[in-house]
Amino acid sequence: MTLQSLTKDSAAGHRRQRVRTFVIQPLVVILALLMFWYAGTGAFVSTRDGLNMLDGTNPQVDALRQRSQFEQLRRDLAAQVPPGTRMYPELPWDLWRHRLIEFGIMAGARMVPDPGQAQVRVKVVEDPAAPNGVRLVVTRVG
Amino acid sequence: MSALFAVVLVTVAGLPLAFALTRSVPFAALFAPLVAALVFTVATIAMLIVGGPLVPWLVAALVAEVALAAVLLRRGGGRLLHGSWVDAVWLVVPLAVPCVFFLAQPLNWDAHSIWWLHAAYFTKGAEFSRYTIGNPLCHDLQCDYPPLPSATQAAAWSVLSGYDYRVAQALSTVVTLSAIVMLGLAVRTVTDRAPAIVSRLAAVGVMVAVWATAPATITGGQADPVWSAAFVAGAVLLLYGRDPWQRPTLPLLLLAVAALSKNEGFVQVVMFAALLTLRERRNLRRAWMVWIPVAAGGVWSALVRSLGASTDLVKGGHFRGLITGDPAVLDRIPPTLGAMWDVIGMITVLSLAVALLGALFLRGRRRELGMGSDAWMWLVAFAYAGTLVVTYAISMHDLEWHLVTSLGRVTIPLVLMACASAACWAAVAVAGDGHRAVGDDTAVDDTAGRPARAGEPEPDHEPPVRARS
Repeated sequence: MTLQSLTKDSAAGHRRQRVRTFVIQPLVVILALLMFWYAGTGAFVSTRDGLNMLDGTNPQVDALRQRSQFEQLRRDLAAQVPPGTRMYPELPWDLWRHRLIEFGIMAGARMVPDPGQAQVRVKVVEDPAAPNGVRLVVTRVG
Repeated sequence: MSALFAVVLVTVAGLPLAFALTRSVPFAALFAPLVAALVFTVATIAMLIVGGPLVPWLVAALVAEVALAAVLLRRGGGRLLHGSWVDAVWLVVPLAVPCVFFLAQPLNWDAHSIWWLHAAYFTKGAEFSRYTIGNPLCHDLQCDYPPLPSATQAAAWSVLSGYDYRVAQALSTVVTLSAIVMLGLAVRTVTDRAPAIVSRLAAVGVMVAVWATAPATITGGQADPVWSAAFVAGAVLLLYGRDPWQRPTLPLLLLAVAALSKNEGFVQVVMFAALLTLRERRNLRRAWMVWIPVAAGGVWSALVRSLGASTDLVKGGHFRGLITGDPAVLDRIPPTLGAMWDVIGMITVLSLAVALLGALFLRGRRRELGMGSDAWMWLVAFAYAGTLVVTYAISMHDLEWHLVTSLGRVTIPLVLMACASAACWAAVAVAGDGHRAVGDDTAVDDTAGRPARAGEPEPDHEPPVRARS
């Protein structure tokens, strides 16, 4: 190996090192920062929406109403359906059928897949006269 | 007020084991809700197998936890390398800001229809729970899903009177945040040879990315963020860590959390275990332990199948159509890929670019820093992306509805793996050739508040001590 080739190798290595230090490393950091900026937008949205609730910009009127409906229906169901009762939720697969199963289980009722096995059939009806616009209807069948 | 009380109660419940594993007061408090969730999960599974009401099983599980913590403490050993108050503040403060969304009403559909409903029947005891899990009427309510996201609420509702949704939402949020902090700690641990500020910023970046694609889920009561964060934390420690088998308890616990939180988490832990076994094929004496979390998820899966639970995919999935090339199934793949591109395309491309540049130019330096290869993390990510595509292709649901209602949250693990990969390459890039020794800033025993004495072993002479196994 000649002195000339050694010098050449050393120069090439030095060049590679400089490319790595001044191009690759900054590029890796910049691309990573850009990615974190994209990934951070969700946290920004969450913060903004949360602050809107805090300062009253978003008073959550509909959400508060729905929560009141949930609480009222859950209380009514617990009052009218004793634990252990065989219950059938008499609705299509929608919000209220899901909630009736949830409230029924919280009350200790046993859900039955067949309405013929039920002791009570339960449904939710809209009623403008009811406190939160909905009313629980419990029909005893067994 | 009762929500705050429940959070304190759950934190206290998980504290003994969390402290025994971390030996750090701030990180024990931060890890405690996740440990408590795991302890309550064990109680719930034991109740379903043996029978009886939930409360005695909760008491038994807590006694067992305290006994285990006492054994671990007596064995002595490692304090968290980065368990200082400074690190805790760095990891917690950025999380507190987006959590202001907790003010939203507890109305999340899946939280009610799945997780809190499951918690409700767990509070009624074994017989009622078994009946409901096997009830055909409840099959659409995913009664086969693992119990961890519901177990904490069930425990709290069993002790506190009534079914308070704010309590459920608060507990779900703290358990999720606990998992996210462990993710940050994992990134902080594997990047600790970069300057401390870079390592901490990398950890914060990955933690905040949990909000990237489904921000409402973190405080809304859903399980995807908790399993995603726990899984990626475990994967980061085992794939990137220096000699991770020296102290495997923490990553294995995190993988167990993922396997016991959601079916996707269980499938992902199985794939991860297979890939890790392949990577560690010459080290099977220690690597077999990665199958312990798989066994935990397997116990639950076998239990609910024996009780008659069914998943919508098993019940109505079109897997045969995928095998036989049914156009109705195959036609669902391009729109699925398109939707995935819309949700995570930019993050994936940027992270892949970082990973390729790193692999081409910084691989040697990464090796010098003792950080494990990045390729395995990407293999895990691609495997998970593949299962998502297959799931949407064979799903019985209308594709557009299925994508709109779930894609954002089920892609959280992909985002986190991509971010963890990029964060680690960025730390490698910044570490410099004359990188600092591990723990330069943490050579202070935070429990005693004294600097490391001359003559004591330098932390970088030891593997990153995360937990006493």
